[in-house]
Amino acid sequence: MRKYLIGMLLVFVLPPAAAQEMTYQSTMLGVMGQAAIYDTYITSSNYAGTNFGLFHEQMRMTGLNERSIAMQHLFNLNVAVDDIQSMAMLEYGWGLHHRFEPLNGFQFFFGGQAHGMIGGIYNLSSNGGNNPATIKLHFDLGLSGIAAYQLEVKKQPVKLRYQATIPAVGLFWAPGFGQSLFEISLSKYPITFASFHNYLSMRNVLSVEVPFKYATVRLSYVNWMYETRINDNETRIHTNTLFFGLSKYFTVQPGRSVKQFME
Amino acid sequence: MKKFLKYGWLGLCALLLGSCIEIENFDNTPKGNFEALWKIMDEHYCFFKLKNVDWDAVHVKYAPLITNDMSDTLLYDVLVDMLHEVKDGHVNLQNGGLTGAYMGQYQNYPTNFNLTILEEDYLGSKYFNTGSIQYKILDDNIGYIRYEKFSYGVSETNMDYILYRFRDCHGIILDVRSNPGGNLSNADLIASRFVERKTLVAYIHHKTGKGHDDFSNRLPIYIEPPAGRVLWLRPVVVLTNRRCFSATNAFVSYMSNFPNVITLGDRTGGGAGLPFSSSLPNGWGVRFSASPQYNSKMQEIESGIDPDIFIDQTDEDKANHLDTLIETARKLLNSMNHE
Repeated sequence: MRKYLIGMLLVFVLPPAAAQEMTYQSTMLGVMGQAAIYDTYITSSNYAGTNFGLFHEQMRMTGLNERSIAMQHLFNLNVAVDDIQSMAMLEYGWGLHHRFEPLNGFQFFFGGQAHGMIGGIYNLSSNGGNNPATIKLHFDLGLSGIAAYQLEVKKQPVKLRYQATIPAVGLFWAPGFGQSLFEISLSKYPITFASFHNYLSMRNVLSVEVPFKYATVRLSYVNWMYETRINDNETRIHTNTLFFGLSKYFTVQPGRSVKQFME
Repeated sequence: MKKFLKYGWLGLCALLLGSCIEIENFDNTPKGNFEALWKIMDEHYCFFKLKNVDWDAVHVKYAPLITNDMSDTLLYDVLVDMLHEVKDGHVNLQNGGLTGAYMGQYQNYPTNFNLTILEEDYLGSKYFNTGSIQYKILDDNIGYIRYEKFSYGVSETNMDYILYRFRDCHGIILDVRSNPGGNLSNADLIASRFVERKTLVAYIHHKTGKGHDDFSNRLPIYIEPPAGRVLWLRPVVVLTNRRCFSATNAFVSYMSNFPNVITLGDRTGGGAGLPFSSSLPNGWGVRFSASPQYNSKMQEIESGIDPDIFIDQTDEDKANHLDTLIETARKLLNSMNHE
């Protein structure tokens, strides 16, 4: 039990030993979720449906700035369906966070994230219209912050973690207000600059991790709010999903095999 | 937690000059569905000015007819009547199997197409089917192609096969009468076999905003022959009638630009607005013209395209099991061959 506690703390608290890289990896499946999808390119009505997801995260301390910078990779897949639409969005985020320890027991990471998303919302009842789907393709840069706190519950270590990411500026490929896919195929892809005036998004990930003998279980509540108003087409996607998965902590010795930290 | 997130999100929006999306929710009541339908058309329909329709006046006319205790059947009838104010065959309201489509572009006009005469007296029992195209070489060595719907698939190989079979013919009759339209890419594919070089054939643009006059610049549409494929540059007569609509209308417009093509029959039914779809709170689907197309001279073709030669089916020919349009086309192609 003591090893688990030290292991998790070391990822974020103590600088790693020279020539070793602390790595945290987590994969979760979204098992219970709700999605509200509104996209005026497809329909003028708002629909609520079910959301599923796949979330994978990897984070490790880098050698930058005396090993105070953590690098994070995030992969996220959201799949939702309602009465008339289906949605699939695949995202990748790459972030660099500076570690702060202003309070005893707390770790804070703050930095930036480069993020890309590709996906679409498909109209299941398009009735021969030339707007059967809206494609979402964009790249953005934003802010990201993590807060982690280690506690014990009846001698069982429990880690609480919260991460929020907010994109700030980006480039969108987006159709014009009434531009059909046929017309788009005849012209260059329309690229639009996006920022807070037309693009608001926030992802909140609240996690609880409980290490057991053979695995660390992670339970997360993921809230994603995504709103754009580009070329007068409005999109609003709000999802709330419960994710369940496993995490692990390990070190990687360059040139040597991976050493599971719990050994 | 949800309340915290909601208010935190609203707070962020307030800070960022209120740029959050406000959804205008319409109730799933007859009045709510009426308002939703009126608004969808108001913001997205592209031909109000061309058709000289005052959509605000339409709201004033129909709103009093809607009550929240009216039946779905009555609501459907009233909404369809409202949509018929724009007199557009692309505008319809789907409720199960009902579409409520406007048909005025061909009602009260001669059909000029008799399927029985075509099948019994021209195609007979010896004709070819390639993909979704029926074709045959007529007795006077003229190729005849019948394409029923542009929604039926056709491939480059299909066209190679057909045109190669017609290689010894001196002309082709391309019959698209009563073809209600379908896939524009099929119109492009077929038309590209009748042109020698890249040719401007049409323009298209789209709405850029919710205003009735918010449009983008017009984008040119070109047709060019596919490399390595069989082309036909000898005379072609395209047969048209009032039921040539949508992609068929576009096809006739494309073909009209080619020097070896003559159009014969009646004015087409129009339908030059690429349709979009949306839905009402009660789940009914609405389809409407959203993206106008024009001919190569930037003239509107929503109301149809006049043929080069106007011809109607005669009763005398009908009695003699003759298709007047096909016979006229044959005479024309034969006279061109003898020149």
